[in-house]
Amino acid sequence: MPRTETNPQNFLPLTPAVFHILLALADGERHGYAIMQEVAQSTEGQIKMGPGTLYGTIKRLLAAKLVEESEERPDPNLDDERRRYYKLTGLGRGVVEAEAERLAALVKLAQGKRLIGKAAHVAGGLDV
Amino acid sequence: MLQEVWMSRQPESKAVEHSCRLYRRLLFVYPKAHREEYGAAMLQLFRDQCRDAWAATFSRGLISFWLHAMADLLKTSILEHVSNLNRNRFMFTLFRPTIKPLPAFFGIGAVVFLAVFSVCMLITFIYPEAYASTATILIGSPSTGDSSDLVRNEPLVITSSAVLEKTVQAMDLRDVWGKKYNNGVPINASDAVALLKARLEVSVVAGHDASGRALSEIPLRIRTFSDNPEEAARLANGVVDAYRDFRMKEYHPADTASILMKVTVLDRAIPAYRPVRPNKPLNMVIGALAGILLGSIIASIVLGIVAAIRKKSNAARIPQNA
Repeated sequence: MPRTETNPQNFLPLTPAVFHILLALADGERHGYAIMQEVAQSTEGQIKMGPGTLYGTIKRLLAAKLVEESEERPDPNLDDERRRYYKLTGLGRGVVEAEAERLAALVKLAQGKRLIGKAAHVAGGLDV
Repeated sequence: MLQEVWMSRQPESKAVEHSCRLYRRLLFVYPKAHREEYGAAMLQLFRDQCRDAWAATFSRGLISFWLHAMADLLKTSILEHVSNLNRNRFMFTLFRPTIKPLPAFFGIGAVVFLAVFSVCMLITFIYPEAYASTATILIGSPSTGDSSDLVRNEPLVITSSAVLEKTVQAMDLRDVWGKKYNNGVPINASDAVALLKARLEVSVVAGHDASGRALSEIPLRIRTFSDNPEEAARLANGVVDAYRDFRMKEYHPADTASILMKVTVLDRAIPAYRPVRPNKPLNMVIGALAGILLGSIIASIVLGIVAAIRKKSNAARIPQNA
């Protein structure tokens, strides 16, 4: 079998879709619709993720062992029991942390060059 | 699974219902494996998003959502198919322990060798057989005792139209070949001569003795080819007869006492037992050598490609494809 990558740095940089899905799972396990809602809410609707993008990305994250499907299911009275829940693995958490640190370093660099204010004027939605 | 999700839907507007039905059909653009694994979840998410869009701004929201969903479907279905291709390429790495360079080289080489050798043998046995017959004559010029002109001129005389037309006429080749090659209709005299010329070879066996002096009489070999051994022999003998008659009548039709050209038939042609073409033993050797050469080259190329694909697959990082 192919060797599994275990160093978080080797996954960087992440695509916007991957980063936002991992961010959405950082607070706990979620199903697809909840991930999509979380992403839309946290980006104020700038990132709109379709079913193809969401599940295509989840499939690759599962293959890379950054997320895993949760065995536990909520009470059927509270939620649709057919929904599939996903959660971060240890590696996935390490990767999203490493990416956040990388982005923070970039932001710091941009602040040093007084570029952040100008970026705030850029308007419009962003699709992934 | 898809059907199960669809049947369990909650009451919703007809627009949402039709949208979900259409999206369920559109899911067939994805690879089968992806559809089976995630199709139900994708349909469920689509329905949730559809409801939200309808609840927000009704038909306007639904149209906007559909435009976004179609773009998503198009982009991600292509991505999944490309990803599938890469996964097939990636499968090479799974066989890493079973692919050993030396046995693989000989295995591929053996397959190519057998293919090339088989094709050679097939061509050899399909190719029509050709038989050759040879007559040998001795020509000389008793009056001059010098054969230099004979060596230069007589092969040209034998293959000339003057001699070959006589051969065609004497053997009735227009009718014979007309029956054989032209549905029974006699062929033209010029065609018959051309056909005979194409099947004729004339060579000088020896023009000089061991010390380099020109011989007074020289042996000539007249060789003819045909798909029929008897016909090949007849043709060779026919050309010899026509040439001898030509020489005798051309120079001294009446006065045989002062013959300038002497033509003696040393060996008349007889039908051959074996064909001269195709040369089966030679073709087998050529086929074997070509098979070994091509087998080695192709095996090297294939193993090189496999090694390159493995290297590339190992370097690929899955999340960046997302």
